Amino acid sequence: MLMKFSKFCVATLLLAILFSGCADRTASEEEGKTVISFSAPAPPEHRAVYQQVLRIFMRKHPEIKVKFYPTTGQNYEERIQTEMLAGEAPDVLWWQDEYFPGMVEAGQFLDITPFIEAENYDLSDFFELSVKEFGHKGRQYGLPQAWGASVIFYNKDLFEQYGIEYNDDTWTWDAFIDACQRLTRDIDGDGKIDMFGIQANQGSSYSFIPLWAAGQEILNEDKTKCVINTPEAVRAYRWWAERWTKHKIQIESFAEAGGGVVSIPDQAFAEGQVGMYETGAFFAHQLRSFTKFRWGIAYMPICPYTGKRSTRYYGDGYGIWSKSKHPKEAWELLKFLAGPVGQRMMAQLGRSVPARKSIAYSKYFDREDTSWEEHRLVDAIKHAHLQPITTQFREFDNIVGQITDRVILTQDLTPEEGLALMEKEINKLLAEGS
Amino acid sequence: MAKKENVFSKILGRVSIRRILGNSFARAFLILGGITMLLPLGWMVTTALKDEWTIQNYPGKWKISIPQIAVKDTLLLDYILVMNDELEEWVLEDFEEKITPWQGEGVGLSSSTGHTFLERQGQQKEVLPKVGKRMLAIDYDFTQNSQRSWRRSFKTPLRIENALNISFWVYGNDCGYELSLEFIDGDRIFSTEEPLLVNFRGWRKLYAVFRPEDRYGERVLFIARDKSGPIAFKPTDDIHISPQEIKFSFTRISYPKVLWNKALNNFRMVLRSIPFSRYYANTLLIAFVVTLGQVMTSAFAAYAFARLEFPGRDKIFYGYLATMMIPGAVTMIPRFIMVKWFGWFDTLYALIIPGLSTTYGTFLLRQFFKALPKDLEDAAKIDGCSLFGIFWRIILPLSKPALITLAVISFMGSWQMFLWPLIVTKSQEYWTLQIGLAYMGGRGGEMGSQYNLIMAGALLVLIPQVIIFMAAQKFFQRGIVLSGLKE
Repeated sequence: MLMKFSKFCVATLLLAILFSGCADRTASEEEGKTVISFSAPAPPEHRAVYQQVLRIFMRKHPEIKVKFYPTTGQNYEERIQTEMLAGEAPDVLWWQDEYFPGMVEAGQFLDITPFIEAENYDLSDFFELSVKEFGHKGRQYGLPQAWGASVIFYNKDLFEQYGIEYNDDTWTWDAFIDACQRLTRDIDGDGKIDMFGIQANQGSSYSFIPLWAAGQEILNEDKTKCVINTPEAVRAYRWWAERWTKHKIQIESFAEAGGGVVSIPDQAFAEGQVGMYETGAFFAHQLRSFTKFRWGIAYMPICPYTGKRSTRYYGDGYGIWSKSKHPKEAWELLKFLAGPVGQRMMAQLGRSVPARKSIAYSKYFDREDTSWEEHRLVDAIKHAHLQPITTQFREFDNIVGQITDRVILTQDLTPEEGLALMEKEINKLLAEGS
Repeated sequence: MAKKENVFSKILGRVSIRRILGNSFARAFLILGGITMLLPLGWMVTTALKDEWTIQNYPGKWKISIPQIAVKDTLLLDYILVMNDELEEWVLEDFEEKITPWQGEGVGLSSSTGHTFLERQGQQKEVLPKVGKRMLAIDYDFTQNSQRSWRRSFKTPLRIENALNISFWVYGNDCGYELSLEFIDGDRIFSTEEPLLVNFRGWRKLYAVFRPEDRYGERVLFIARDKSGPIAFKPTDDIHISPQEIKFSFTRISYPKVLWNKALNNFRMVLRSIPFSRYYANTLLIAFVVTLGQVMTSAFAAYAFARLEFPGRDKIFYGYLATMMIPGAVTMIPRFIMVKWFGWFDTLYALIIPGLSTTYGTFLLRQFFKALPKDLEDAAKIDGCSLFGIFWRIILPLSKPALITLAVISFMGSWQMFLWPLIVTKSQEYWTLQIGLAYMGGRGGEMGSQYNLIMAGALLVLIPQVIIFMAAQKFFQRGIVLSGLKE
């Protein structure tokens, strides 16, 4: 028995050495080529598309070899930050707008303004906000890839069934609340409401949507002061909070959407338990083979005092790591990913709107073979606002989230008190930061 | 008769009804408890067998949908697109014969407000992706023949050298027939490597890929292969485009095969979407080597701490033990930096070598060795056994249960390791199963909400652990009898 065991040990060890020997082979494979690395959270079904784009890039630039490291979406930021600390980060990397300024301030992204100026690289085909979100203090640190805006998905069948007209162009806050109230019903007559008007996000930037519509900015021009506590803002914020506290038209939590743990938060809408769903543009893609009812895309309602509407913009893009040994080659890849082929890839994946106008309005994104109107997602740019992203966005988001919870869930703060407290706390945070 | 009654009443007399009731109640309670504990596993197994259609229903259902037998239906194809390797695409519309909206048998189409509906007898009305003006409907009646095909020629600016894929929407009715595709370009014929199973419900976009360099990931359900060898890329200024033709054929398959395919479907999808076998090999290798290393190093160290006399032995041991109290997250970064120094970042070494020793194992074995009667060793010493001989011939065989326990714990630990492999590896070729699973269900992924696939993957990951546990069971039980001597 023991002899056998020791033989097994030896065999396994040999196997281990053999296997781990494989590690070094790939590195020396490509000589005479500049090897750069690229990382993005590409789920299995996107990986091949990315790889195809990189193959085209390498065919056009035979002197460059790109090593692609698709990663899991979870912990992407933490992982890249660890790699940066260890000096092992990829040359070109995907990044989200929310954590971008912080990383730029930490000096992790290369200033690509010199490249843009040297080549006279044309940025005009990109949506303005997309370019702006990757800029910091007048310099450009990355190129955008895709973006999305928060919109309202609505169940056309339910609207028709209860005789509610969805007149998108004239809907104001009041009309919106009215429709929500008419959709909030007790269908089986057991005294408990089982259909709600809307399912919405309580996230910080969602509470800012009515504030923007009321003509209010969150931070001042140079992002040093919070200017949220004005009568207009309070009025808008109160309207938003009353959706939970007064009108009770919201499905309150995901658990209430059907009892127990709802692992797919979009279920309530898909099951016809809510009439509208306020979420990001990516949801359209999730509904791609959905066949139970007709649905449409609508915009956020209009503020009656200003006659304007607004929405939240979110986006992502690519940057070059500041310690990259091959910034020139990395710039070539960056241009390619943000170029027509890379943008067609984004359109193909279909989850967010490509950052180039020429592609966003083309047949590659506004597709014939899908049942929804993609151009409505693109047109949302007309009233989209950048989130008030600063270097301390995480803390900022926490403050807003906690105060919002106190206003709409525990209700120990009135909207007026909430906004005043929010302004105070955010100003404290901004002062600490500078 | 009288005798039997006697026996019966005797038993009854001895065992009171109360006790019988109490016993059966206790048993029922235990069995019920056992079943309740098994429910999550049952859910996992059934979910692994469900299709996308079933898991999208809310609230969740236990029932697995069973495919129907295909007799008469209409196959719906929509938006056949070709794409070149610059990701430009064209809808095939230049058919010689126009595809028109159709009325099939027992199937109806109607449209209003920009949507088209599909109505089937006895089924709920469904919404179709955009107006089906390019929809192709092929009626089939499998009672007559078991194969139908459809063939059309068309013209696109696509040059076959640059072809990347063909995609199309198919409406599946869960009947389980096979669909195969041929693409004819001049005298070259590409055909699918293996037929596609239409065993899903509702619309789904399918791809046939011309360049199978990277099979994993893309929602590739089948691969088009050129019968005359792989396509060579040749840049040419020749604008001439050869006549192209596309042929779809579908075949009825036997019902047992349909069921079999349905059961295996999710597992196949998992194996197709990520390089599962690679992850499996990595994880197996890591788990075996780490387990072996941990048992060996722990046994040596534990023997030293339990039996050898050297100055400061216990102090060293307590220092050693103290490392167990530090949470792993704290030592993560120093460990990472060390691994980087040694040049092991993004290699299998980083996954194996730091795991080769364990404080916990040393502690466990030391306690066990200490409890072994010293008389055995003295006896061996008198018989002339060396120090190592005692360790190898006396201590180790006696502590088999402890060793096996440690081995099982180490195996489970290294099999389930997640954060460390995630941090020290970058290339997918060194990933482990746990990262593979997380990758599959990760943020932004379409598979993130496909619990049937995730469960199927999780089941595949689970199997070796169950086997190891069952194999080790025997040793756990024998452990009690083994110590052999009383003090």
